[in-house]
Amino acid sequence: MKKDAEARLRSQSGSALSRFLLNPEVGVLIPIVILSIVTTSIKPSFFTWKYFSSILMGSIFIGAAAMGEAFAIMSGEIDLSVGMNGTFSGVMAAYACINWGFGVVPTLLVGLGTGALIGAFNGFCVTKLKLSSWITTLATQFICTGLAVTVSDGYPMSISSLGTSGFTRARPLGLSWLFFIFIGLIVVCDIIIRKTKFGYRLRAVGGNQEFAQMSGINVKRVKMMVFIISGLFAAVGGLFDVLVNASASSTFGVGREFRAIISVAIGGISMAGGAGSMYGAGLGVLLFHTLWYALRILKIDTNLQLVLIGFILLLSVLLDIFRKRVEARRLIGG
Amino acid sequence: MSDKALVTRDGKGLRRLTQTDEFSTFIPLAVIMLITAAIRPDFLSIRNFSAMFNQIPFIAITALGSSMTLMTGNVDISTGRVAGFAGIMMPMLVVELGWGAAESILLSLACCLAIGFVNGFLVVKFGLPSFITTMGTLYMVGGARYLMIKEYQYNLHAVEGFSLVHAFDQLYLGMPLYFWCMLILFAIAFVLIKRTLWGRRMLATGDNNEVATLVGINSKKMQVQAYMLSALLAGIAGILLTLDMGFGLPENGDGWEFRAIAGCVVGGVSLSGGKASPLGVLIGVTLVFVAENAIIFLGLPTTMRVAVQGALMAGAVLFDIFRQSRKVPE
Repeated sequence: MKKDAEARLRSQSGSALSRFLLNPEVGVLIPIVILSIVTTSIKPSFFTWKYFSSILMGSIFIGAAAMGEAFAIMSGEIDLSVGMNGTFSGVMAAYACINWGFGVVPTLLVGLGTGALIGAFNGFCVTKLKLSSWITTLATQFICTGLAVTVSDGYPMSISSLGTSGFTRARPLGLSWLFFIFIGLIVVCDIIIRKTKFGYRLRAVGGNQEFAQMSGINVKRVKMMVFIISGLFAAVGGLFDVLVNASASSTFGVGREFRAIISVAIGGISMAGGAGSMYGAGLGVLLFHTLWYALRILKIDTNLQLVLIGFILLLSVLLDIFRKRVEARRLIGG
Repeated sequence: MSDKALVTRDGKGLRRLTQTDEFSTFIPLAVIMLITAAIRPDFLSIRNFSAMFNQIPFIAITALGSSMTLMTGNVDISTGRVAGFAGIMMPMLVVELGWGAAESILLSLACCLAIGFVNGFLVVKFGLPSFITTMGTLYMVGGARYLMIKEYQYNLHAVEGFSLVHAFDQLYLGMPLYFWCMLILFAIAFVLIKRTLWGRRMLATGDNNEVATLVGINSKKMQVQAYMLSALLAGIAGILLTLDMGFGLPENGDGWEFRAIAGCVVGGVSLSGGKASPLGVLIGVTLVFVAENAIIFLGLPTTMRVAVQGALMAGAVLFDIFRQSRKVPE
């Protein structure tokens, strides 16, 4: 029965090709492929495993923040603190390691705890005090910046006493363990979004908050969870930085929130909330970094890069609007 | 608007004054100044104040623009880069193409208006989220201003016969020229918003978009106009800074957008739209600067400057929500 219905729905909804192209993940993958082919044809050295692995490994920092951002945007909010929250969490972890003599696991827990705590503060302001999310998280961004600079005193804080450098320098399959942890996190996120009750509620809240409320979903609790998750992922991004550099600095995550938002936007997550996939967001991160590295290897002026990034951001948001319109027309038209 | 009418009806004179939004921004300003002055009397010195007022006008003019977009229920975070754009385009035209003051300023401001129009068009026509849209233009304008220049800085003092820049070297009634420009712009904005039909329409658009449309206000047009004004005022601020310094630097204006928004929020501009007062914005921006300055004077670590800005902003939004909830009669 279910298969029948699916088949009928499929036969109704346009040709196979257009459905394939409208798939958000494919929509991200195509530009990555085109970009790679074009760049390779100009600069053959782009198409080497060495270069590609450096793209992959370089994308985990913004990638982790983008995962948190994806949760926030899917629920119809925005989190501008993912960059500096991560930085502050990393600084706090390093502080715990240096001043309290913590081992590896407690140090990481301090970092994650800090991130979650700041996320909870964001969530509290948004749900209980009813502040708008962007001004709240902008304020926490400022607060985290100030705290991170104050705690670290503006100097890098070395965590070499933890002895993690062997772990971070290892190169399984030419990549790093942190990269595989990141991939694991994407898979977990996807399962949370698509298979769990929380994920269903999250999408419902993002899609239409009032309907979600009416159907008995505790919107406030969902949003609180979202901000805590977002804070956790911000901390993960910050801890990646700290582990790779074996030190924490208050300058690591500056501007990361914007890059995370751009990655999520070009990854096909609807800026209006409610729709999108975590794999799409992951591919969005990859596209952003491929573009970045391609522009760099093609020696394109850094300022032109900024123009292009802004242009692509606007284009992807526009594309999202058009995709929605096409889908809506097809649903109505049958 | 309606709640304001409710408040002003049942009070007279002093009571009426104490219940205005501007007054509630003024109290923390006065308190901070009094406490700091009590601990460090030199805080109130003329030198310290003139140092603060060297920076306030530029952010205040940008904030006035930001308050226009916030008033209509949107946000514009590209203002800082637009200020930098206009601030480098004007001297570029003068130095490289030998243009005069008037036409170079006019063309730069026209470009700002165009950027504002694009922002407004994308937000209104396609329904894009305003934050993301202006973030896109932030990147594009931020890169474009470097692309159009050949040199890193353009010195206006070196240009023969460019007399405008010398006018900015002198003080008028003890204040630099850009300070008076700021006052004039705020006075114009005050009249426009508080005394004209156009201002009422702007506020109504932000207050309740649907109701505004129902009573015949072209709310889309008002939103686009707000974006254009926001970019225009940012451009004016950037050009004034360039004229004051005597040379243009492309990175001027970076980070102004959030300080401007912080000033607006502290100055009682409601983030949900429909409420803004130029006087409040001016007091709000001053408060942000005074608070930062007070931190340094009180011996707190200067690294906490940014954190205080954030705390101030969060506090102001909270206070705004508290005030709204108290005013609306049950």
